[in-house]
Amino acid sequence: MKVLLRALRSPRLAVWTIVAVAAYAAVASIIERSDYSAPYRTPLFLALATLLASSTAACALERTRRTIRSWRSDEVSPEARERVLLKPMISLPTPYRGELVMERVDGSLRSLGMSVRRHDDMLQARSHAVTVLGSPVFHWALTLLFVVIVLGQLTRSEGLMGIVVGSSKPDIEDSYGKLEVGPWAGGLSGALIGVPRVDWDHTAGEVSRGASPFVELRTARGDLLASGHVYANRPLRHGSMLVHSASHGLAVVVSLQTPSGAGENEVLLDYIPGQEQVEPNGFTLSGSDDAPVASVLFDLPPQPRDGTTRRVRVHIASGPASPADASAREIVLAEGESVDLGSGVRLTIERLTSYARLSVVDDWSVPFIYVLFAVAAVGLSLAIFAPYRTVRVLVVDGPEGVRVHALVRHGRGEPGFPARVERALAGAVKGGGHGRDD
Amino acid sequence: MGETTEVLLMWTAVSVYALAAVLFIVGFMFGKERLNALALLATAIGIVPHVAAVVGRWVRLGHGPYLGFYEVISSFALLGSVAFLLLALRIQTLRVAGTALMPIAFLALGGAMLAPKGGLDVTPALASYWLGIHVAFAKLTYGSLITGFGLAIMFLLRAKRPDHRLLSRLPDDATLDDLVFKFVAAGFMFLGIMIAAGAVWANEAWGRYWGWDPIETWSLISWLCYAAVLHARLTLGWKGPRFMWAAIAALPVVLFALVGVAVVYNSIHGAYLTGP
Repeated sequence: MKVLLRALRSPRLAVWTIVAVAAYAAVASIIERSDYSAPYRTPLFLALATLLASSTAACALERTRRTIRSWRSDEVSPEARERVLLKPMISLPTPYRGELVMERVDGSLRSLGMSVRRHDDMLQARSHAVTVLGSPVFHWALTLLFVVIVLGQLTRSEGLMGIVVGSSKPDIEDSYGKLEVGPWAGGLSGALIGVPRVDWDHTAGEVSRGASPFVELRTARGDLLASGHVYANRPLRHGSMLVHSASHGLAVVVSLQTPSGAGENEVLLDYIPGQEQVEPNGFTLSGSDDAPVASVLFDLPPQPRDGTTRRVRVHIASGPASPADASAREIVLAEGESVDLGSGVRLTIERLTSYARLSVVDDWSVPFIYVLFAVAAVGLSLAIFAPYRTVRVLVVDGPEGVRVHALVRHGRGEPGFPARVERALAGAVKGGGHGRDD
Repeated sequence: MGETTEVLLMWTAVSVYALAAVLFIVGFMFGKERLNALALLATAIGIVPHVAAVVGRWVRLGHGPYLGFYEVISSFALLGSVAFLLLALRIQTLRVAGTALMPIAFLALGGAMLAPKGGLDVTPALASYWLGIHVAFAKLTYGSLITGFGLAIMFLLRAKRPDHRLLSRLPDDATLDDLVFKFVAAGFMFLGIMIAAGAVWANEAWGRYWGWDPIETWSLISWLCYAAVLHARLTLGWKGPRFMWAAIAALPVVLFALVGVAVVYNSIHGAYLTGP
């Protein structure tokens, strides 16, 4: 275990793992594909990410140990006193003696924003306690970020659900056209998601938001949980559930009268981007022996795209229907009109309306990820701009007079810091017009 | 302010930046302090029409300079020039860094002037206060990293020509090395915040905080590159020339994430630069 930990906290391994992940991502981004995230589910990437996470955790552990050691080493010991005496980084003569020199040094160290403690003839100054935490906090936040992201991916669900205006669907697997559920996810909420209306040109904050569905989220019993217009940057939230508007289109609600009974079907038609036409969509009807009776495909006759479509074109074929199929029957129908499909089946257009395709995400990890982002940023800021700094000053009364010895430590080894300390000390202990305590 | 006035002001800024770049380079080559001072003055003069053009466009279009190649790059050039001017006024020995930075500002603004200048609309996906946060940190990121890049070049030039009159006035090696580190580290932190702000915004706009879209991916690659550079310095002791070369080598990656990805890839993110 110790060997593994030592290997993982190796700075070289950390640097090379970071480089390897970056190189992998660069190569993966060059290969053209429709699913951008596919290369990041491969065993190679997962292995690299695991190595990076483990290395970050080992570094966090190492830095925490170092922090504790550093904190403890701040206790003034005879050895610490010896180090300042024998190997001072700064050594200044002073005409002052006794209490006065201690007071002046104390004041100069405080002017550097440090807190000062006194131990006999030695002064120990250090930056605020929180500055020692920068690097460990940053690395622990990154480590936890890895863990929370992975747990979030394993337990989240995300799906697309098309809902005809004026209706609702329960948050269950069958309601989704496309659904991805993490292997550790609990069941879906079962809440009712309804779209009472779509506002075709919704304006909010003086910005036109385009077509915006008004979404209601209710319990299975019908109690309202949340509601509101949903558009880009304005999802509907309830607990860990987030509902976005993914797209919208036209919906055809048809009833089918067959020899064996009656039923209703919803056909969702997506607009083709930049055109006044929709992607044809439909269904195949089967007879009692499961043999196909007819295929029905819907699209639009030429008409304005304003959300108030009143007619639909129906392509009816005995085989697979296609708008290009010359043998297919073609008929334009309005609401309430019917067509005979043969074999005793009659199709009636009940409603021509619109639908909203909603993206429904249930992910508890998102707020925790945001918090960890913030914690990492604070830790990094501390590590870079306010690292831990200590100064130990010893006043030595020797045969050559009184001297002030100082040992300076800066968490990041900033070259200007010892010079700043020296300037501050020199200003405080050099001779001048003040009284001397001798 | 009309578009014609704006374009005239921008071309004035391009010309004066070009003059500043030439003065910096000639001053550097011949070690002339006076030319260096003139170049700094030219930088300050060039900033005036540049600010006027950016503000005029902001008022006319009703949104800040963050949509389209022209706006994005010209605002980076402006902020870079202002940051350099402030730095050079505060630490006079750093003036010579203009030899590396002002040609970049001139080329960036000149390049931006070749792009279409029509205003892009603030789409519903862009209409969010996260846009301001994201863009502000992007500007801080690029400002810090480009300044670090310029100072790193100065460090390496002085290593080659330690007796150069202007270069010898730069802060000593240890201080300059630390200054480059601070700019790179600050850029790294701002880049991290920019990515995090982008992730929060993506979740609000599209319902996912990360989708491995090319711009997201290349922003992460940039962050990882700088993480490696900083790690190498802090844990492997890369100081001096090695660190400078690393800081220089990492910049093209982050510039590709800013400009290259939106041009090369067909990404939903690219709309901010190339339009929908």
